[in-house]
Amino acid sequence: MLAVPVAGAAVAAYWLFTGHPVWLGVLVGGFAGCCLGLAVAGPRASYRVERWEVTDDAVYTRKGWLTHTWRVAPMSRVQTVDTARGPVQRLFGLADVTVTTASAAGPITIEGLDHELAAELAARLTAITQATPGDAT
Amino acid sequence: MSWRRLPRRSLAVSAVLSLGAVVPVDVVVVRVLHGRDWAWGTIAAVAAVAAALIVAGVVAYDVTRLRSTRWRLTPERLELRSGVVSRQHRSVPRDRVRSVDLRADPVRRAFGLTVVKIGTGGHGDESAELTLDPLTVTEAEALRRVLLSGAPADVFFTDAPVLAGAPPHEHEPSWGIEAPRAEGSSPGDVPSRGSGPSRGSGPSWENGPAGAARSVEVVARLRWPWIRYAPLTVWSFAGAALVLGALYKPLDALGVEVFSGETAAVVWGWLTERPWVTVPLVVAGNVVAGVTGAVLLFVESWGGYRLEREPGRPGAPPARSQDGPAPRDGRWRVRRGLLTSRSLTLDESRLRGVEIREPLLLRLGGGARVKAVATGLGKAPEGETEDVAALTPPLPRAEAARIAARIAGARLPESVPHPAAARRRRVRRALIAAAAPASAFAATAWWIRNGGAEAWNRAGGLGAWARAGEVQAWIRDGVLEAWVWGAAAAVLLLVLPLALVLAVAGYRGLGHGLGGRHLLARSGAVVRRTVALDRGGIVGWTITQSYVQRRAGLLTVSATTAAGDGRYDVVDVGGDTGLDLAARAVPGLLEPFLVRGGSRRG
Repeated sequence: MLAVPVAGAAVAAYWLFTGHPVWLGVLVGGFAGCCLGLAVAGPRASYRVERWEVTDDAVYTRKGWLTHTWRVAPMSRVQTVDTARGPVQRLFGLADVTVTTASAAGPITIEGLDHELAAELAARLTAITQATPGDAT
Repeated sequence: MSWRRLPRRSLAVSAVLSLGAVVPVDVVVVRVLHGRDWAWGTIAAVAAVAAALIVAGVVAYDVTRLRSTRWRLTPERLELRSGVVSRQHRSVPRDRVRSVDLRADPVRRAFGLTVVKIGTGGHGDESAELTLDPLTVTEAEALRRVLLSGAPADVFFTDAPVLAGAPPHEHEPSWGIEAPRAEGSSPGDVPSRGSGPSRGSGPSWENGPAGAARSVEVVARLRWPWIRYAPLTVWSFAGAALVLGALYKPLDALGVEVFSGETAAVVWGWLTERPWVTVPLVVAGNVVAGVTGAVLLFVESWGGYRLEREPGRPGAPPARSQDGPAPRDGRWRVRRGLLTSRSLTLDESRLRGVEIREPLLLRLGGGARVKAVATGLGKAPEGETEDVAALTPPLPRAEAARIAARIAGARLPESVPHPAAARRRRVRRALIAAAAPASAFAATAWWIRNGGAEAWNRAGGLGAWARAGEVQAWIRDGVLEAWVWGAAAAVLLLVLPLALVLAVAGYRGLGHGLGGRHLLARSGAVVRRTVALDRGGIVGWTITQSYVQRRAGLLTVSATTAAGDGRYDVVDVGGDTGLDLAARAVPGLLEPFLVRGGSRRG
């Protein structure tokens, strides 16, 4: 997400503040190329590996490209359900859903859902959670 | 349901404690005034006035604090109003109370007072605890019993000391059965522990309404031979330096200049004169001081140590643990401390497991210690050296295993070793950790040999200082090169064996197991931690597999929980075994997402 501005800033800084040495130019060019490549490939890669699933009993997510991470939280231990939308996400009609359990190990986040789906999911999670008591603290 | 105040004896305590601030202030006053050639009489008068002002100020503050603090216990909640400047009213549902911590330093002990901290779970640092500073020992003991037993609070209120200044029995017990009171006993006359009137009239705190049926089981008590494990910490080696550091401030205030140039020069001269004698002497002195410190600390922290289990009320409904496998309604209590007495009570139904910790030195000495995995334990108070969750001092490993099993309420599962791939991974990591710096050193040496450093230095790459003739001579004559080769060899000879030993120890420390009630996870090369986590307390799974682990067919299964560290890892377990373990530990949770018969999952 930040790759394009960072690459732009690097190129601009090279252009404005340095005496245009060739080796630095090559370095900055390479860096900008990497950033742009990341910007193009990153979302595709994460779209390929990221999965989520919500059943009546549990929330499940999978993410990570080099290090795979699977997370499961049982519905009975869910404490809060949040949805959040940043400005850019609003532009594209997306939203994040964050499911918090009692654990200090951190919440489970499902990123980049279609916002209507996210709202629907949050409502569903809330309903299921209310039906199952207890949070094992 | 009247509001209660804190005992007034607290004023005396703060007056005594404020003397601690008086001493340094007076010392400074005397030094300064004496330097200005004042008469001794005047100096004494000024010092006395300063002391009186400090004591009066502290006591005045404490008076306002005591006046503004009220607390009460209702059938549902524990409430506390406090705050001199900004008022706050905190209210905690009684069923959120997870732990009760009593702590009395020598001064408070002398006045029969104790500081009560009530842990309520929750992750916020401040909000997780509610502090009553102080209560009388009797009140605190009664509150402790009532809060964690789920018993009606009648025991507590009917015979408790009344609000200071309020007419006796202005409040009445508003629920439960009022325990019969002996007529004529004054309300302020609290029966001392264990010596209540034998007519069964006045409730005594030890033999409350539930009677003698609540027998306390002592699971462990201090045995002095355990003190041999006390020095087995790193502090034994760093100890003396720390003591010097701690002493520096007060000595400096008293005008003793420890680190003046003169003494430093004398010490340095003495050290360098005969280094082969003096350096070992200093090291030995450091170790002796450190060991003494560790032993003294052990004596202070663990003197009078007892680990007890108080059973729940016979007729009471089982504690709410609808997710837990079996009702566990007892309470665990750790009592310790020679000078400052500390008591921690944990609700058994909130205990999510137990951890056996074996730091390297202690492990080599055959010792271990036991920690609780529990919710609602706050941070250790300032100046406290023990972990709040510590349940035992360092003690023999077998004893630790016995206590852990008793606390867990079941035999701990056997530990199953992990696949050889995990060992290969650790050995490879050790080899890389040693080979990387060694080869870097070797490459540098080779570069110096081929004149690289000389050319670079001539071009000014090493800076002005390196252009001195001496440095150039070092480079030219190969002295620098020899040193760098030496460093490479040292890394290979010292770091490599150490890293390999740690790698093997790390592998041998790995293990997991599954019992009827617990999930066992063991890992750690330096500090080996064996955690038996209550399966009912697992609130989710995180499974991670890095690129290297994927190639080796391993993965890390972490059970997340509300208690203790929040997550406990089964590190580098074989892929199928790990998933199977997670699936069996909490049936029905992971299964819908598992594809059997392979490590592919979707």
